[in-house]
Amino acid sequence: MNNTSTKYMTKFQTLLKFPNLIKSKSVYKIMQSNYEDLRKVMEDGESYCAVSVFVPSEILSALNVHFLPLEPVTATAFQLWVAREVDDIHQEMLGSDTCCCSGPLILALYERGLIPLPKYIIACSHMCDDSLKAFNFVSKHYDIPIFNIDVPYYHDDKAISYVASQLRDMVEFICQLEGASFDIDALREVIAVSNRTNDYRHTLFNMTKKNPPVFKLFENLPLYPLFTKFGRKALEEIYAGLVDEAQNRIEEGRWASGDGNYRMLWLGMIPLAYPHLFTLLDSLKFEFSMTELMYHSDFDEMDATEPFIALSRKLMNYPLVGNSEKRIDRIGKVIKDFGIEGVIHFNHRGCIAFNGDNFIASEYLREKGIPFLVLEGDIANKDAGSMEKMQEALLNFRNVLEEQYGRR
Amino acid sequence: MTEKTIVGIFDNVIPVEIYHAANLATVWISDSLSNSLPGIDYFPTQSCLYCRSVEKHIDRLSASCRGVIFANTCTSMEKLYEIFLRKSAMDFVEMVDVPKVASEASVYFYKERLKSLAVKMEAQYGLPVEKESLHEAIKLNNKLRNTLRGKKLYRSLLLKDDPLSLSNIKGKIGRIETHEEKHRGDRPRLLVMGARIEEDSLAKAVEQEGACVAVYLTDNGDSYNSISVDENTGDPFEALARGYLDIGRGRRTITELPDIKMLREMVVNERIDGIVTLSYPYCARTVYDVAWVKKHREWLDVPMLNLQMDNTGMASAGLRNRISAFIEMVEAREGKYV
Repeated sequence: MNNTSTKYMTKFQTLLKFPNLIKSKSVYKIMQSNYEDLRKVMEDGESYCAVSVFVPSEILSALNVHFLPLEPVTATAFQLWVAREVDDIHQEMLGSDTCCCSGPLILALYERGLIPLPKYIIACSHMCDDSLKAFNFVSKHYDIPIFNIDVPYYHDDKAISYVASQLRDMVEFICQLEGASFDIDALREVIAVSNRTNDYRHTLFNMTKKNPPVFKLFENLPLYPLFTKFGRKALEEIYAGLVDEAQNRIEEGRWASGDGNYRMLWLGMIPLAYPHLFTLLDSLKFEFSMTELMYHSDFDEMDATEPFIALSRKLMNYPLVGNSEKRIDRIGKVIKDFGIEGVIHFNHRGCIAFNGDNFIASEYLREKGIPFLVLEGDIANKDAGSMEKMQEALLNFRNVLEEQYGRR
Repeated sequence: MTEKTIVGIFDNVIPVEIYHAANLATVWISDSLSNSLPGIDYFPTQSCLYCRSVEKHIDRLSASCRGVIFANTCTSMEKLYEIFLRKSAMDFVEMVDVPKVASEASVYFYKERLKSLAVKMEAQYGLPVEKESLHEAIKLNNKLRNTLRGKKLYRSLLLKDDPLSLSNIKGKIGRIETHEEKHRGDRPRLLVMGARIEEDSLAKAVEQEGACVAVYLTDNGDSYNSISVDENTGDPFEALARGYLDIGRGRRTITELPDIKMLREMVVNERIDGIVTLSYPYCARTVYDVAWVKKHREWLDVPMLNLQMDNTGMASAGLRNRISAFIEMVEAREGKYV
């Protein structure tokens, strides 16, 4: 490890020494588990597979592969490491700052020697071109084997079979590199674990459908990347713990909200670069009953008898795969189920996967009479968006909501 | 619909042969779109410049084309397709599901997608794709690309804004065969590569500033000319899928980065004096491809110039100055052109 990565691990460890700083026991467990995943690589020198977030974690778990989803690693790591240097990293890695920061940050992990190189890489074309390009860049630059999963735009039976065949090839790719053998029953068991974990997630969602949210927007943050670990028994336990904790909070009346709050839906990414934004949202009485990152990775129960087809369906059914109608339908369902009164979309710089649907979402929400606000910035680089402008826009938006719903 | 029905094509990965076999004329939607016009912005400001420019032309394209065909080569193209689907007045707006990886499985998948497209064209638009016509279209398009390749010409030179169909392709091949390129003289030889936007204007600007484009690795150049479809494969859809995906070299998929070894060979064999790359903001493909080439600058051993487009077009004085200064630098480097 170099000096910067040692400092990072120390910071992470220090944070974990004060569990009282993190109110939720389950969230603390998530952070512990993230730390442990990284520690094995950074301190024990364990080899690992670098993956992009939508690579089916069930297959990796069934094959007992140690893997790190790089987007969440960079999202948390750069908060502690080099949050102020994002523009420099863009220039240093790509000679341009006009693209999503996630790719250059992934390149920087390796170019700056912050983390050991992976044994191999698995990338997925969902959900963005930037991460796909970055993963392939790392593979080619360091001569690391890569497997790319291609998720088509249309998801008919042929596409489902096509993705399923790629997932079978992915198993072969891993087995060759790991010298492992594949047991389909192990995958079926992992899928059963994944299904049960998703049930807990549904229970958690249902608790806040007609109630105030149990966790605040900021408190939710460590929950988002959890879908990258579906299939692990430890995650099932964490979700069971989250449900218990939420139940206790409900029984004790400890809602993450106050009287007269507006029930909001957050679309797009959550901008970690603007910590004051979360305080501002609280002060404006915006409570986030649901966020898109939370439900995007939701899935219908998988049929474990045909695991590859089931995983293919799961991958193809995500709302951001294919036609925007799917995403809009899901937004409509959340608005109805959760009684949403206003929608905020955060336009992360260069993220066409989310931002490209804004005009469709805006037309849809106008038709439904739901106020809609778009904020512009960058999830990792606070200089790419103005907090003052966001504040002004949010204050005006609050006025729109007051006018519409007659609450002050 | 008559033969004069024109279909706009956005990508090199879409086999035009299918449309020609269905008695349609195709036109390449490429250049002349970069200067931003007033109009509705469906795309967010911080997104692909090419798509933001094209969306402003929906009405113009609707007036000149009866339909447009997209390929899901990147997320921006998917979103552009959805804008056209909702906002254009065309008879048909289609998206071809193109694999993002080149493998045997993806060839099979693409073949099935192309077959479905042909079925849909007949069922939905009354445009049957006959096997014989498809074979003929494959042969003629191969010949067209071979002729362009042999003459070292690029598509836009003779075909720009000029619809191509089965009935006029032979005439165009004849014109290219008899075309005599002006003597370029002893001028710096540049390799131009990268984005599609303004690619033709860039080539013209390079020539006007005193150099010549010796290799043109863009959508309108060798990336188009190098497509080769096997005329003897029993299943023409498989031949198209394989030829257009460039199986084996895989250069047309987003997961690939430019082949540096191939570039180096071109630099040596074509006596290249400098490389000009063209990228545009918020396009992962071009930004990463250019970064990859720049990383190998020393190994390529020729000066490089990267032009990142804004909305001002190639005519802007700033860009002209940069091209001119680059050519001067190339000329002075070895003194052979001074």
